[in-house]
Amino acid sequence: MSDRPGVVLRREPARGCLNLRGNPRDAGFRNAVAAVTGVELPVESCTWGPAGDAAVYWLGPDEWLLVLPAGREADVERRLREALAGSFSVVDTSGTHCFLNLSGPARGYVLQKSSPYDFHPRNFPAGRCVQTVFAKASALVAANPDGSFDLVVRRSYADYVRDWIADAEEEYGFARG
Amino acid sequence: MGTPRRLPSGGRIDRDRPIAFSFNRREMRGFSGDTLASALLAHGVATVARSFKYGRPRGIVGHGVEEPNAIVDLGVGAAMTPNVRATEIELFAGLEARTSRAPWQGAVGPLARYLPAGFYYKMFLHARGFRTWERFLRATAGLGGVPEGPDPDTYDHLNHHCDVLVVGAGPAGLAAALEACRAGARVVLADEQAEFGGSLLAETGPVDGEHASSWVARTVAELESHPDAVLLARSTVSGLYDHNFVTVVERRPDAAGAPDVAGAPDVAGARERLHRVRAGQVVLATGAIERPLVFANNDLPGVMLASSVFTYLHRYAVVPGERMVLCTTNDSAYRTAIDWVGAGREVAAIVDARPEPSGAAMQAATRAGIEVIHGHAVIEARGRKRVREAVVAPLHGEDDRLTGPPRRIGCDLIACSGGWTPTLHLAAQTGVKPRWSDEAIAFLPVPAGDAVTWAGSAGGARSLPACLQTGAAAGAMAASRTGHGEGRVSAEPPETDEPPETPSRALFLVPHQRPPSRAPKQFVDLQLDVTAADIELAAREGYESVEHVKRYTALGFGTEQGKLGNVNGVAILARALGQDIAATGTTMFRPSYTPVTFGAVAGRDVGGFFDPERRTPMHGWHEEQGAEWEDVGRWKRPRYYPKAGEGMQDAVNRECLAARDGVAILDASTLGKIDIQGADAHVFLDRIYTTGFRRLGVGRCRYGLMLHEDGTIFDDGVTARIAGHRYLMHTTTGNAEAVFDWLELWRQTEWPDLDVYCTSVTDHWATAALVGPKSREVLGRVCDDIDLSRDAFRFMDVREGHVAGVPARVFRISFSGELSFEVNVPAHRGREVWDALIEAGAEFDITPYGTEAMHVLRAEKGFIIVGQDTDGSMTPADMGMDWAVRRNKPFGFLGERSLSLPDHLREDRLQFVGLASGDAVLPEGAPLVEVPDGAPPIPNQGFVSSAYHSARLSRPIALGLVRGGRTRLGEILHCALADGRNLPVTIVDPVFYDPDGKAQDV
Repeated sequence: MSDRPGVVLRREPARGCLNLRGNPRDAGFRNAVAAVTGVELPVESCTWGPAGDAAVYWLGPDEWLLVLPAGREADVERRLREALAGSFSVVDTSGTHCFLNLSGPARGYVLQKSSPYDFHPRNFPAGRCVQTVFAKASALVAANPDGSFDLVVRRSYADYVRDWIADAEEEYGFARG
Repeated sequence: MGTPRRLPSGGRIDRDRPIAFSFNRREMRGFSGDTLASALLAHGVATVARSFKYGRPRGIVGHGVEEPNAIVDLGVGAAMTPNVRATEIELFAGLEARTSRAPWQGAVGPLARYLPAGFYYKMFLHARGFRTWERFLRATAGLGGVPEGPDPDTYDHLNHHCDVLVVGAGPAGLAAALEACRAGARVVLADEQAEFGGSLLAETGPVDGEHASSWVARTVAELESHPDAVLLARSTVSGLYDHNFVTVVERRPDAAGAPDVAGAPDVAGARERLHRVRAGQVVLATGAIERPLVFANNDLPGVMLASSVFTYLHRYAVVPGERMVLCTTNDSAYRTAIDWVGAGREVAAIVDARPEPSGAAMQAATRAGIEVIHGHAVIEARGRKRVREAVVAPLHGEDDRLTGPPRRIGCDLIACSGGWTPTLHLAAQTGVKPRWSDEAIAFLPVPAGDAVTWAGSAGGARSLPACLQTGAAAGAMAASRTGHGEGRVSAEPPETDEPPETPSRALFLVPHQRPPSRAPKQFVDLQLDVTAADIELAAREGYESVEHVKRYTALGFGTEQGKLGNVNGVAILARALGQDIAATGTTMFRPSYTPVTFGAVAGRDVGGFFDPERRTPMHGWHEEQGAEWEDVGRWKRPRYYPKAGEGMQDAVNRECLAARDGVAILDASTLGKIDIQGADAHVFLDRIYTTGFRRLGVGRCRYGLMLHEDGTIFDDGVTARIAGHRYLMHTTTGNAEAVFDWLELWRQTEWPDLDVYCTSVTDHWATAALVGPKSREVLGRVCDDIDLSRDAFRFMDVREGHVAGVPARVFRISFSGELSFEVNVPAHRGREVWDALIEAGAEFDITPYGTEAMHVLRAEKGFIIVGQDTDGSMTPADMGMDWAVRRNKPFGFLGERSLSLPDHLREDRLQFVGLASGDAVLPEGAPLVEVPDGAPPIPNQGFVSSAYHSARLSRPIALGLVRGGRTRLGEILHCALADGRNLPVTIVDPVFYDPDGKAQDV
């Protein structure tokens, strides 16, 4: 085994999360979200984008995950409710999500062991994200510009997912960030 | 022992790396690069097994996946793997192998005449006969041993996606993969052998002006240089499923527990890896397997495939005999005899079934000084434990009959070739039957769409140039179909010096002087001892379908799956039925191509990974307190918290009394929680629940029953109106996902016009239920922005504020009948708030309680648990819960109309009641009857659904379902116990404690 770890798994601190629902063809909806958050909602399926210290992930044709620095979620939720009209939904899901970051040269193998989705860069370049099965749990996986992957998993499954990854990465050598 | 059959030089073995191993407890030596089979042959081992049914001696026949006889149990103890082909086992130091045996092997020989083909089926004709034979037959089931303990090795799965999957890395597969890679496709190349090259590994002629092995090395090096090529050696493609989902089992022989294979890359991790490949295009370059000829005693050790003799000679430098008779119907086998002479061994004769063979192969044999006996065939092998002589007789030029007397030729090896059978198992798994070609004398694959193609001898190519050329073309075409390249090959196919082939003769069963039923056994399926006579018997007994004959005779039923015997069996059947082979057709093949271990199927989903464990934010605290656990769905919930010396009942009693008299705390985080928003949220809830939601005020909660369309109870829970158009629904822990799916089903497919969104927030909230008369005081210590007084914060109110400084929602709802506050905070702050509540409650001796006490508390109040007191057939009326059903809503609610079904209105339906049972806790599930000791059948009156000891009431309580139970209060029934006793029980009201609900409204 070489000295360099094949996989590095880092557990990220808690963040503020808002689940946002609405009609992407409604310009008023999109503009109001942009005005409050400074974030342009991605409308192409399975894409995400950073926006300053926030990020927004496409979860479905009418659903997004807004990730903010911890503690800002309540304020942003309030301002969204003030700015939005018509059909929409905003839900604080900060407690739902645990954030992991997977890097290292063998990171792709860990995903291949865990999910049937195609995470090859030809299919899943930086800027893509997908909600998919992860071992026997589920995860939102996002490809970062630095080649690493962010994993967003449900809190109740986080121990299982971390144990699973530890087992999957063992043969490659690993480190914890 | 020595290795008399090893040549002094040559072969792809490393003579500097000798390897010691044992076979059937005999110590032996081979070289790195050997297989177990080649090492055994080098030692001159003739008999490797006894046959399944007759106990006849059997030797090694083939050199690869087709081997029917040399089946071994590999390894010892818990790590032993049964039923592995010795021809596919790379030799490693310390290898221990034993012949896999069926329990009855060798013992049946004398009885064989009483076990005809179809014996098993005939046995079923008479029930008495079946009983007689059943025990005997059961004892005979299976082949090979059973490992002695849990498998110490690990297995895992790896997913792949590719444009082109190439199956087989022989000449066609390598050419295909090369073209696909050059076109820019993502390629997976899988081959079952340790080295890529397939038949080229034994090839002696040049490819592209260089030695075949260096062409292989150069090609593999180029493939390895492509970043998007995945090369899988030792990897058997076991199944080809719909949409080109393909399973590939990779053997990784040097993983934990097993010794390293010399020269193998040092891989860690799983012993076997199941690759799950999703391929745009699949190119089957699976090659062809030489077809044996069926003649009398063709199972004697020393009868081998000509191509296998050739492979042992060139690849392993092993000569499996001294004096050979080659029996052939075609040109391809000639070089085996010619090279045999080249290795300094003797060829007694080439016996060619063709009347007048000619062409390059024939001329080369003659030049080598080999006698070619044309128009003849070997009709019988003779010898006791191995071949001593071949009986050769002249054949009619067209009909399969003898035209003259036989003669004997002394030999210890009969190499035979009846032609080639393309390996179509995977092609057949697409569901399309292969078609017979008289020209190719083989079944050939038939296209099933354009996502699976084939190349090389799998598609009928008969020469090396044809394999290379069709491989390259298939690779380029497959790549272009996935958007890479234009389908043209990048270079001319490599040149070889292979001469053109002359026509072969179609010969399957070699005639004998006596008919099959009287001749010495002519084996078709060596693994299951199926003979030509068996197949003819099946035809005589009226079997016409090849699939039926397969099952009747067990032809191709072994792990070998007809790789050698299938075509011969079909041909023999066709002749017996007086029809041609095309009309007879072939049996089909299912996955798996070769046996797959259970370990590979299971992968890492074993032990703790078998089912994920969901944990609440307070899980660690419960662990620290020594909680005993209950699994609820996937959740781990504390069942009770035993103190030193306490049993479960002691702990539950203590926890219950704390909740009734002081203060207790429950981790209720696992309850399903769904945020429901939108202008029509109240309309949506009104339709989903039996209860009315249109007039629920902001900050108020309401209990609801959710019904299936058939009117039966599906879930229950409390829903709170958080804001104008915003609600929070609680579901039962085990039903959270099912309820969410149910909501989405109706929202998306039936009522898309409603402005409503549902979002699961189960994981977002950590919930601590503070229960008991002191709960208000405890909460007051850590919450100063909610007025907790009785009138400001009423029963069934919800308030927002801060608990222990954390933004919180507090519900005044109760599943215990006591004053109760359910504190909800974001999960990532759950533990800190829990700790604060425990600290605040310390002076009141706050007591954590688990699911068991929760159940007792709710049962004392007669609260139902959906799934425990209901079983999917109960309506609200059955449960005495009509109070929760609101009729005359504008739209109605799901299941409403079904409540009027005549069957749902019967008065003798099972109804929810309490059961008083003296001083014994009734067993849950126990049946209730009116007369304890009448003559059966005794009509069932219902059953016990919940039963506990109530500490508050100092007696057992029970809930149950009784026919017409609500009108039978006071009646005595009998509870039938498993030990035969009957306990009298009295039907009572299901509310045992505080029927007026005073305790929760303080």
